[in-house]
Amino acid sequence: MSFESLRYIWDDVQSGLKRNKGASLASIILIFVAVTLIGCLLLMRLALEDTITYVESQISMKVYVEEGYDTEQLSSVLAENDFIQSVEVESGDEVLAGLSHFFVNREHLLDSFTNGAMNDAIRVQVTDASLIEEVARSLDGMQGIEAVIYPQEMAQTLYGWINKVDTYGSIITLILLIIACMVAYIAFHLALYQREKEIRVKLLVGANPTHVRLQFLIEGLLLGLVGGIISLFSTFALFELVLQPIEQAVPFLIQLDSSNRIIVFSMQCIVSIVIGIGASFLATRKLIRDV
Amino acid sequence: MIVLNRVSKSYGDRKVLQDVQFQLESNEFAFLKGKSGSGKSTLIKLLYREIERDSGDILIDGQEIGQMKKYELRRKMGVVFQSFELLERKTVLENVMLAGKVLGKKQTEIENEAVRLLTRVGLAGHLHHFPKQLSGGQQQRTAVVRALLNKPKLILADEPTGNLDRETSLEILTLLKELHEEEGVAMLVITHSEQLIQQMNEKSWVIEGGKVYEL
Repeated sequence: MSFESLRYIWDDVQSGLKRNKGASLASIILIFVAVTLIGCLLLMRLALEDTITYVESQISMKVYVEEGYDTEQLSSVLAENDFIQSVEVESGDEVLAGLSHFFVNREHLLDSFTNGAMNDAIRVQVTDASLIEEVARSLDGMQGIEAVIYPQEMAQTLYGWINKVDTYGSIITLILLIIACMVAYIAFHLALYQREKEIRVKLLVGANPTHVRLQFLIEGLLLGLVGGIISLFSTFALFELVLQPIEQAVPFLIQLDSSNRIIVFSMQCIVSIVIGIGASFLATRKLIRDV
Repeated sequence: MIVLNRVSKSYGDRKVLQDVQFQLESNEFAFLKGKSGSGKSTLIKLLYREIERDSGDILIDGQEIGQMKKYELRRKMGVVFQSFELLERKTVLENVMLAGKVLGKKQTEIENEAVRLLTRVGLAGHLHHFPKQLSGGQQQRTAVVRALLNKPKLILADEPTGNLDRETSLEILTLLKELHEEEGVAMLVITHSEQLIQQMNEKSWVIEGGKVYEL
């Protein structure tokens, strides 16, 4: 392709965008809305993943040691397992002290537990909280362990939610992406319909179809890029105004690291450009083929 | 310049062209006439491949057109349409220059040639006007200049006077005939007006029952 051809294509891109301001603006707005929604959804999902990780870290189990068994030795054996992250020994008295708040004003009941009434316990933190049930079952049968206690209902509820977030989040993101592509395609198709004659005349006077298509692909790229950049700034503003204050208020629950933000913002620009070029390619395909 | 050998074309069950034999020499000017729906436009569209034939051979300048890319074929010819096919948002000069731009020619070269031809057809004072500001005859003259800009060896004119009154039609046909002589270009002009053909007194062909006959 000669320099002159490139120059003419660029001139046509500029005049095409200027002369079709309404259609260009509509395409930008549609891409912006769709990609902003996708960006927000991704940011929220990443934030939720942080929350889930935090809650997961709070789930632990308590292993009660059989009377007369060496608690320290058992804790060392447990600590050697790959699926166990940490162990913390609590003596029977410490366990009892932990229960004391249940017996306020009824201390006489607590007194009946004294004199070695409570067994030693080991607080166990597992490496993967989703395996907590499995780990509890395998520990339950071990020699020296009397009972294994863990928040079974909480663990099940939490993993139920994690699965729902994963499934529905992915479905919603996919649906939004498909809607964004379709909406952009329709917008580009309508815009090109108005310029059908321009394409037809160019092809009839001997234009190379690749050059004609290139003009519209560049237009699609530019519209997508503008939509993506506006969407990036909007999502950034939303992050600063909504997520950041939450992050500062409960840093242990939500901590979106900067790499996650960069990934979401870059993704918004890339998706917008891909939507712009893709929609433009599909919309021009039939028009160019038919002339 | 143009050779059609046993060319056929159908739309569904309706046979529009059947084993058509036709020839137009270089530098020749000819009319192709026929009733409405007789297949005149189909024949022209086959020549610049807006539609494809069912069978037969079509040679332009000695080359089988099926072996050329569409845009390579269209660069060998200029086409003038009944509906002018001018872009409303481009000026007269821009519309004409478009034909040179799509070939990647230099701006100054295209502009000089466009201005020369537009002046020749009497549109020097309308270079920066938009098509809507022109009369039908002026719009068709612009379209003729666009078809001539790249100095093709062949011009196909599909009912170029179809949207014009009788006086303007004669004016356009006379212009085409003059440009054919001045620029040394072969021309095939389609029309359904017997009267205009008689007034021009040029070689003509007729299309009837799917066949083409020389008159």
